Amino acid sequence: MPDDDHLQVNIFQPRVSAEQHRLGVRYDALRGALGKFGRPFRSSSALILPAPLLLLDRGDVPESRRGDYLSRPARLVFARNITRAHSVTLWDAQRRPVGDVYDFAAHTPIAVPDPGVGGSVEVRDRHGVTFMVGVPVRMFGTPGGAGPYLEAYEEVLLEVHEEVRAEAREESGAETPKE
Amino acid sequence: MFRTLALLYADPITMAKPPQPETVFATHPLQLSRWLEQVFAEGGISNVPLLGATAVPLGATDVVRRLSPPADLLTDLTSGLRRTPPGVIPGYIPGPGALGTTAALPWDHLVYAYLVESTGVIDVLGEVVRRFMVGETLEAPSVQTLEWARATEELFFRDPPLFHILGTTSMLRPRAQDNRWNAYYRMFGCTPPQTRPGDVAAWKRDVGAGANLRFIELWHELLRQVWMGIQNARNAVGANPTDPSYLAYLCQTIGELLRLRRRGGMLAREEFAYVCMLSWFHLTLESDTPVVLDLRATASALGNPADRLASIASRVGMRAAPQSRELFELADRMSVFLWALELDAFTDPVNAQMLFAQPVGGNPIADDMIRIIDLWQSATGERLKDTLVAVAGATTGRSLPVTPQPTRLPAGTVPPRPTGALAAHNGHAPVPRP
Repeated sequence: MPDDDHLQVNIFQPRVSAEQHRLGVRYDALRGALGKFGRPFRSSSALILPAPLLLLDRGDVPESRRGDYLSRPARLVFARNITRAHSVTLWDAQRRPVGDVYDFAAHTPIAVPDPGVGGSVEVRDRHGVTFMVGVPVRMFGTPGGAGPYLEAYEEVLLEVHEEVRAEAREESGAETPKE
Repeated sequence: MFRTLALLYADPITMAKPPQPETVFATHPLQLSRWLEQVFAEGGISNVPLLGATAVPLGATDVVRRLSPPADLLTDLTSGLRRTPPGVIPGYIPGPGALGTTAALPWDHLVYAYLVESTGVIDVLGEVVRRFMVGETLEAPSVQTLEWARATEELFFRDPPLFHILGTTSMLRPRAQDNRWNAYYRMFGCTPPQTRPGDVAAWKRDVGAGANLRFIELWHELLRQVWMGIQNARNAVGANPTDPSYLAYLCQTIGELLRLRRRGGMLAREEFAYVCMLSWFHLTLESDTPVVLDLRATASALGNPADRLASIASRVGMRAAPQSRELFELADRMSVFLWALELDAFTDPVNAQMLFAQPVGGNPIADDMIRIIDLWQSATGERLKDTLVAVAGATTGRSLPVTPQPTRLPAGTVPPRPTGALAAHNGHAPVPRP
């Protein structure tokens, strides 16, 4: 559903655009980020917890020339399945959409463009309605899994680590001149 | 912040389990002190891009980086706080990845500190700590309560360690209460109601023109207009006096007013220090903690912090604010909303409609606003829902004509001209007015 479509057609209810609805979702997520859980609030919020990881790989570019250059697309990792989740969108710091709409997958890295510092991730249901939002944790290189926060991601990160190593092996094999 | 830490102790991944306040109180104050430093260095709301695309939340993009120690110095002694089962004294595990430091953890808006302090909680629990420390006018505390009293005194009733982010008192501004009230006065143009008749308003001295004296009037006007929108949200026939454009203008004005006090990062450090302090006291009263149990002020699992505060206050011969019940809840709700206002979330008339729209499936913003209006009206006695009285200025009390929106924005209170001596005298002796 395009963003400018309306979510409901009941003439007795005020019409709320998808953009307005997203604002409500983000407000609720901010409430969650401020730790407002439990009485008098709900025990959950629209904030994605644990926050998704955005794995960034600068590859083999020399450090002096790295800057923001990324040799491979970023990988978005959700540690847990989200009920109703169907697709994912990315937004930059100015709340402009980044890239396309991507299929949601838990435990599996999703190749996405990097939304940059200050970016956010929204999760939509199968009708294209945003219902959760998260602030991805940006990680460069392949994380070693240290720290309690990464406990939830450990298995996924191992998979990513293996995947990255396999890709690197393939690339180095392709570049090695045959004897 | 300490209420968030209580959640993180229980479940650092999803914060979905019941909080563990007793674990927070069992943490050594040195670790808590380092934890606050680490949390501040992550940037708080500045690095939580959920709302707002243009506004700079803390007044300057690099205020946190410039006020925090360099990274290596910060990690030299970390808090070492990790997930801890209930009933276990937290240990120390050095290295990165301490609770809440993997990503930015936003702290509450200054209004949270203002409203919680307005309950009288600092005076009451400060007196409890004092009595525990100097004698036995209260019954002997449990060791957990003694731990809490020690941490409370160390963190909030003495000078913090040198160069610490909580260090907002000095020889130049020695009274902590004056400093807090100064911040409230500058940001909201008002101070907590505990002012005694003989008090000299030291917190107003040398503020100059830097106080948002219009805030309360504008805030009332905003709540009235939102209520009008809620009343008419489902109008199918007839006129609808709601004006989203005017609402957006009010939101923009309040947002600008608040941001004006943050220019260059002013009040960022103070705000962090004060909301942390008040969250500690709020956490103490939020459930039947060891302190509450020892003081026989329990209010059951579904009880209200205001009831516990009232019971404790009576144990030490004091009285909490009668509106405490409203103030505790308002603090949480207004904190989120004022951040949203400062982040320009409602300066667009289309977005401003979300302050009152009630679509199928619900609207968390309008739900919050309805509750804020109820609580604010109950706490202050301001008749926000009475549209005849609602119109600011000359129409008050008249039956006709009443317009839904005033001709001009409320102007607020004009500060009286200082008498006797000039308010600021740049180090010289007071100058008598001619």
